[in-house]
Amino acid sequence: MWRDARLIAAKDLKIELRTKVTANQILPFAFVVLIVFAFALDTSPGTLQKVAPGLFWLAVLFSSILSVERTVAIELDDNAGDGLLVYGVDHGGIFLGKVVAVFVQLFLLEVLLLLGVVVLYGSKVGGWPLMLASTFFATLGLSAAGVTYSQLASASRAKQTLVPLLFVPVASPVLLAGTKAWQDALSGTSSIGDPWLRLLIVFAVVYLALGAIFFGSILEG
Amino acid sequence: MESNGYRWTRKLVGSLSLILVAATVVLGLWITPPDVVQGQLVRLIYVHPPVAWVAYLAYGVTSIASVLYLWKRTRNIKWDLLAASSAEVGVVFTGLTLVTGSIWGKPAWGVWWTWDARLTTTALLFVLYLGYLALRSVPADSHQRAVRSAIAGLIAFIDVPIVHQSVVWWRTLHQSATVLNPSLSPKIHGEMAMTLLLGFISFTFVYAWMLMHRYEIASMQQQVLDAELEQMIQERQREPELEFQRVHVKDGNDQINQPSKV
Amino acid sequence: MNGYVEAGYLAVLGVLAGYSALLLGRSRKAKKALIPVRVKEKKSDPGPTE
Repeated sequence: MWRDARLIAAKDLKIELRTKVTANQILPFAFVVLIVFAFALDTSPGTLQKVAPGLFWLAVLFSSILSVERTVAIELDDNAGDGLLVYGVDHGGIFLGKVVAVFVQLFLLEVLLLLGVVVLYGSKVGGWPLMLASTFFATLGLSAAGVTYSQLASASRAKQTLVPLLFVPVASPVLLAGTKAWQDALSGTSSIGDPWLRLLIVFAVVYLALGAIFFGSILEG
Repeated sequence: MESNGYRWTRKLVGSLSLILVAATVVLGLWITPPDVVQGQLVRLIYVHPPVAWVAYLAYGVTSIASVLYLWKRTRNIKWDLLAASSAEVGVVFTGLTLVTGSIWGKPAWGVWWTWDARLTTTALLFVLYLGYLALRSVPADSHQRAVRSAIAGLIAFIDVPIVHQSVVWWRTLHQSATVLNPSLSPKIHGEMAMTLLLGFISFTFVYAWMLMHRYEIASMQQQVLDAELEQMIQERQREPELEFQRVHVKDGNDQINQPSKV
Repeated sequence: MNGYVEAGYLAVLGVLAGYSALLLGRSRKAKKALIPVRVKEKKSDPGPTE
């Protein structure tokens, strides 16, 4: 399973390196989101800094929808996914591999997006341990839940419209907890023992487990 | 499943729920006294919590049926139909929970909506199961749809406590307690408690009737679908013959020997 | 009473009645769609004839 996961993750990342969909389409989209948020809100100093963590995670959430749709779409081209099943690649391995690939892409996107937040919104960054830990688990949770839901919706022709409706309510705790953990990190009110971080860890673990258990049935069903 | 016994039970449950709801409304609106604190507003307590209870009950049934379908030993398309039926009724009741909660909130708190933990969770629950129903409504092979819906239904249910916990913290960790809690729990006694209990029972009966009816519809639709599928398979098997006939009349009017469309 | 109470009861009873009516309508439609299937089942019961 672990070997298959590594292979799938490497394969997906290689495809990304060749096609650069995340780099050329999803990342710029995330930046546009940051910019239009400033239009929707007030640009006076203070306002944007205050809501920056929320806007950051909202931008990440939107990007993750595109990202998980993309990871499933890769396998639909030329029925590549059926090929994987025929070759007997472990189902849990496919799931974990896809999660890792999405996670890596999202994490890089977040690093760049954070730079954008610092530059555009003038936020100050601090509280690194909590910030890093919460980002890690939030991204892991988003990837796990996203890959599961995207695969669930993949059989239908209404896929593109269905994924956001299915995924966003489920991911709402991550948005909430990620935002609050960042606020705590930035204000320095709490560190690694933050309850929001615990919630993010629980979410990530639950969805990794659910995805690993059910992904095979989704693929075959 | 569509035996006379099933129909008879459904009709009995239907009549009972009509009587019970009528009794609840009469007791709730006219017989019971207004509350000391809330005044007339307390009358909403006979419908709002029971409706919310039915919503949760419905989602519980959906989840159990989903598990029973996913578990290979109990796998049967009937569980899938039951899960779908219960989820749909649940969405109706969740919608009602939100509406009645909002109607209660306006005079009690002065606003139609407040970001109370329970309200917010219910709103997310509503959207979660709308998504579940949307996933179901997409045309697919019935086994495939059953598996996917069962997983979606189960994940949605598992998500509920996480959502609830996050929302509770959201509203309490960074802010002082909200205004709503104290006034919302009026002291209940005597005939008011009886009426509330009656409300719970009667709306549960309404749920049972709706579930039975919805399930029957789903089951009938499934039978039609199965029959159509069978017919298609049979026609497929006859296809070579038709092909053969068509070759023979190639110069004539082809239309005549085209296999009829299903 | 105070408008809100009536509105609440009306909403509950109205929506439930509306949904019930919808169910009854769908049930009728499903029954109609089932008639040809039933007829066929009876016909094709004795052996695989055509």
